Amino acid sequence: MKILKVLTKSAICLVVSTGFLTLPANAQKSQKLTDPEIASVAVTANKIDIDYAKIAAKKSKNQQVIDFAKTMEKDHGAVIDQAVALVTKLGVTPKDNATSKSLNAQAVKTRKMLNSKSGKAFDKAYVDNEVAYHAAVINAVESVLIPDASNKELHDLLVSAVPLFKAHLEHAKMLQKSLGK
Amino acid sequence: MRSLVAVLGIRFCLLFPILFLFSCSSPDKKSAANQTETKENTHKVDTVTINMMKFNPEVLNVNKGDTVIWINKGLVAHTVKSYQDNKFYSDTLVPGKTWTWVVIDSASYYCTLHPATMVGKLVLN
Repeated sequence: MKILKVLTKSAICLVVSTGFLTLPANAQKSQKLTDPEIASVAVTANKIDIDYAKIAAKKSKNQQVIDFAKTMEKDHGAVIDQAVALVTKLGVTPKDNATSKSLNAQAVKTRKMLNSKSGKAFDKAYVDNEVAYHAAVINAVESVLIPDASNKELHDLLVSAVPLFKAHLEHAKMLQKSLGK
Repeated sequence: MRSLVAVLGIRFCLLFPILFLFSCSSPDKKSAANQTETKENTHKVDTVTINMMKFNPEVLNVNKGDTVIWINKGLVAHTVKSYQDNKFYSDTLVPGKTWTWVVIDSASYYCTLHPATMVGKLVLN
């Protein structure tokens, strides 16, 4: 079972090669994340996508891309609100950790890449990144955060967020297809 | 002769309203009125729950005049819009809010904020 978990986490790290979710070394060693760490990773991952959405809403001229970005901003904002309300209720303080630091480091590079592009090249880069980002987040939430969550309410919040992320992924894929035409 | 005409006149005047009243309360018309009332009373109210990024039930059988209430029990805001323009388009439903539509026709609909996955259908019986 432990081997399976290590393999799963290694598989997530393969996703990293798509350029976005880099799980740090300690996560690969099947070190269980604590609830404060999970809360921090969840909030960080949502904040990162809000930042990408803000760039897209500012730079894109494509109405479909702008609408998608606005939905990302609102939806991930709502998830953060729920997470913050829950950790406040539970008296848990999100704890910065290697995973959330790694997410932020990767996000800096991605934001730089997005800011360097314009026009259709920007739209494509943003939407491609949204597809990869959401696929990796879903994988990480299902394989690491949900199994590691000790508190039932935190566990349930993560479970209820998965269909939302999956809907975002399908929406991003739909856009990707439409931009490719 | 004059008194005979007067008596007949009075009798006619009395008879006419009585006949009129009887015709108004004839059994046929009474049953028609009841039927309308019954039909109005059978219009049902259905609820579509929005949760886990789905309309539940996704397909709902309805009759003309039924009321459908969408209630958002999800994490984020949603909308309800018919694919055919001008049928219906809700306001943005933040979590906890409801939106109501009285059925006039069949309709396929979706959430404009999550169009790739959130779809539903009202099927007229």
